[in-house]
Amino acid sequence: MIQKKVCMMGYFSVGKTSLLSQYAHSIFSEKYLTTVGVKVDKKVVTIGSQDVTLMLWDIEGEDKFCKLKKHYLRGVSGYILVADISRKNSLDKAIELSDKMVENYGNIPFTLALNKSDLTSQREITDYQVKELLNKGWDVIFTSAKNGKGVESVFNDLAEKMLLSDVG
Amino acid sequence: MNITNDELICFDSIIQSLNVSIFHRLSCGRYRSIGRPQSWVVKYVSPVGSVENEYIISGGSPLLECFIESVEENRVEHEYFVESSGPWTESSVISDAASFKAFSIYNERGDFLVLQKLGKEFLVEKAKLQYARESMLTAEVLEREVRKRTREIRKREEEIVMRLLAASGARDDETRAHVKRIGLYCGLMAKYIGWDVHDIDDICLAATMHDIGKIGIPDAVFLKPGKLDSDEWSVMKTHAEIGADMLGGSSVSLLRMAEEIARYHHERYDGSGYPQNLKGDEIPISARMTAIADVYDALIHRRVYKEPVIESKVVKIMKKESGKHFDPQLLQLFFDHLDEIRDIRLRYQDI
Repeated sequence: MIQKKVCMMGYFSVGKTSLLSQYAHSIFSEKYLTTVGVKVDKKVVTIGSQDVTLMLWDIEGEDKFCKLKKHYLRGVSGYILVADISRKNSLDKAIELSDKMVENYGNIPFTLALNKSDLTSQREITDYQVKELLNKGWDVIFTSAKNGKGVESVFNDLAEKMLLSDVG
Repeated sequence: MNITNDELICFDSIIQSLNVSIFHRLSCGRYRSIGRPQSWVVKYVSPVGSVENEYIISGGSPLLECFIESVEENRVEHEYFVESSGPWTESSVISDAASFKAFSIYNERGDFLVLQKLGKEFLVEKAKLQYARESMLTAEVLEREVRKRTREIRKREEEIVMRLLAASGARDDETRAHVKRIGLYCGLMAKYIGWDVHDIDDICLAATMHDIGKIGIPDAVFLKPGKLDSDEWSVMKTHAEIGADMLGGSSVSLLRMAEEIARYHHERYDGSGYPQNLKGDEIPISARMTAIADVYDALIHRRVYKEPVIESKVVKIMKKESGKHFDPQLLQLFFDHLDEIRDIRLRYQDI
């Protein structure tokens, strides 16, 4: 079976672990529990007639306390950038991470998950900013690990893109 | 090296206490254990056939595999190093977590791989990190609240200023949109010369009050149709100082800036302006910026006494005044960002 390494990347407390846990185990907790280091989970998805094992690397959020280690990204096939719609700075961080990824790994498939989309009244990331990213060719999906909105789509879309990039 | 039996027992007790397993690297991917390996280590290493104490990495942890591959790839002969994998956690979300860490060490004693099951200290570190990140989140929430309140205060100030201007300019053809645009053109110039956000916010509002002194000009002069004679023109020119006096004497930075703009926005760079015939840098920069913004906006829009001038002609006219009426550097900066100036102009139209 095809196996793909997918890294969850983004600023701290944007919901990387929650997205993954909602996707792989259908579990959500309101409590924020910081990730230290890495946790790897896996899930098998079927894309068309092809089964793919996604090795899902939940990597601690990069901030002033923790810097991304290079070997965390070794062999990465695709990544999910996660930002929190109620924190504009988390989108800045996602853009910065994407630049670093392109610099070090070239154009590998990724999707931007704008998470916590249920917090509509606290939204800081504007439609204009989203439009700018779409114009740059980014795939942007609004997600809520809390109510499950967009979660399957983020992972499945990325899986499709990774398979397509193999064919290409 | 001769090691006594007591020393071996002592060494073994230390590695048990630290919950580590130590391996001597024999070749790429092959290791010999030093001391008794921990029971949990079987997930990560497998014995090599029947060879005693020899192991290979078994693939129990994707992070450990990547770490070792990375160390092997970057290994430089005869260069000592200590590399850490960073912690990894083995758990499903429903079971208790256990965390581990690997170290690759190369020194004069040899080449080693150390695997450690992280204990209490790690949990303490994790709790500290949790606290630090929660504090950062709280700080972000507070900052957002301050920004929101500041915006509200700024909006309130703007509303007050606009209503005062509407009252003072009721006899004039200058609209709310015109003064708003002038503030924004100035704000844009201020941004590009590197002012801080607070000063940019100040000039956006202060520049809108540049003609507030016109309230003090008698109707006979202010509303006179046709050309003013020289006495009337002298009266009209006093609006600069009237405005400055109205705004003066305040300790509020916004009003201090508004005062200097009101007083000096008719000074000209070559010293031929009024009220004090200041020259070049003697004219406060806020007033030099307002002079450019005011003339641009006045030329390009229709007035009761004139038709609008097309932008290319406005640029031409104003460029001719570079170094005479206008600060040449600021004028260049203004034209360098004409696209954004145009955006402001189109966004804030006269109603």
